[in-house]
Amino acid sequence: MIEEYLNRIKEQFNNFFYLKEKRENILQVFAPFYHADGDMMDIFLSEILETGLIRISDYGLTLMRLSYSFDIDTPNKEKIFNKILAENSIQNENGNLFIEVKPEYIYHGLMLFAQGISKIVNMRLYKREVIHSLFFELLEEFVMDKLQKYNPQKRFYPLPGHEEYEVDFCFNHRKRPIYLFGVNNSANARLATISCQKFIAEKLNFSSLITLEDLDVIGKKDQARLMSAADKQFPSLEEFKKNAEEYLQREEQLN
Amino acid sequence: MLTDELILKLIREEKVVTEPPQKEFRVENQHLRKDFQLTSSDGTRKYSVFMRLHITFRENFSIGLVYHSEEGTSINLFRCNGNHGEATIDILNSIPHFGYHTHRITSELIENNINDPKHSDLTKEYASFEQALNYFCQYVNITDSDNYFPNINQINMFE
Repeated sequence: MIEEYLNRIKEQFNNFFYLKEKRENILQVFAPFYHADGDMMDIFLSEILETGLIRISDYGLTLMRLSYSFDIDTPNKEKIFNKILAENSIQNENGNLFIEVKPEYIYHGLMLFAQGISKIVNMRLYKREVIHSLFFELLEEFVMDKLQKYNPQKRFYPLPGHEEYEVDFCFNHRKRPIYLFGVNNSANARLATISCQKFIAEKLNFSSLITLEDLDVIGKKDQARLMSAADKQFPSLEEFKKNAEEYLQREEQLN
Repeated sequence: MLTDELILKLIREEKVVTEPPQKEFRVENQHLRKDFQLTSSDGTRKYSVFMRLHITFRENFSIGLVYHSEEGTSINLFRCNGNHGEATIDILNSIPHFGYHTHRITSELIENNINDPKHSDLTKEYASFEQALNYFCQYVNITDSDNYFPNINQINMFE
């Protein structure tokens, strides 16, 4: 009877479907379900004799693959992971992900399962370094939305003819402008330090403001250099969002 | 810009272990896991290695070299995979291959913001996890790997 359904699936997959015995009562699915690196998704079928259902499972290989570059190690990540499982009706038994279906629904089950696997593997897009690359977009969104009254100017070059010294945002609301530098890695921490020192050496009238993405993004030496070159630092984007307005107001009163 | 030549240079340059692997594998879900950190022998570039071995399907394993750039990005440069099924380079023009294989990143992939080492080649260099680890350590040039995996260079005549 199962044979009949499997033949039907073969037709549904336009013959791009076959099974190979991986172990006793475990059949590996060969169908056009691929990961981004060209490896075929690890999907297996086994018959549950007591219920007559077919178990579509990955034998834990999806989480093994995800672990090459991403760990589900925080409550938030776990929440997202469980949401994907629920959306795709996938169950989790010690990392072994599976769906159980009636034989006539193997095709539907396979599609749903492969979709779920794909979403789980793509959780690596939540990697810190990917989110990290959104830092400047988040900073800009906040500055342009919430700090508009301080006349922010994006990509400002205080020294004419020297585009190598760039300020992320210049607040021109007072005589003495405030130069804001976003910092999310050692390379731009050093660039911000050098730029501040250059502006001081050129005797520019300005205050410098640094917003770190997070304290952990730069080493202690970079932190120390930045601290001695800049006038004010916020240790995280969150802190900046919370206190930037009050800080700019206070600065405005001083000048 | 990482050219193919530079990628190969990164993969093959001499490296030393800075944070050693755990003595025993850690059981995680349905696989065993070990990770360790490396630097280039001149100490200027950082790398890490991941080792994964499926508990039930011992032919399903992966050992990978990740390069961590100064800008905070990480790129999986090279990976030794077990015989887990089918792999193909171009899904829409598929010439699948089966068996033990390696994956390598290319400059074209990086240029397109793809950090998955999609280029894959079949290999006859290994046919088990232990052999793959031996090959991996030699290929990516970990000069002090013997200190952490003392038995990997011994030939097992029964393998």
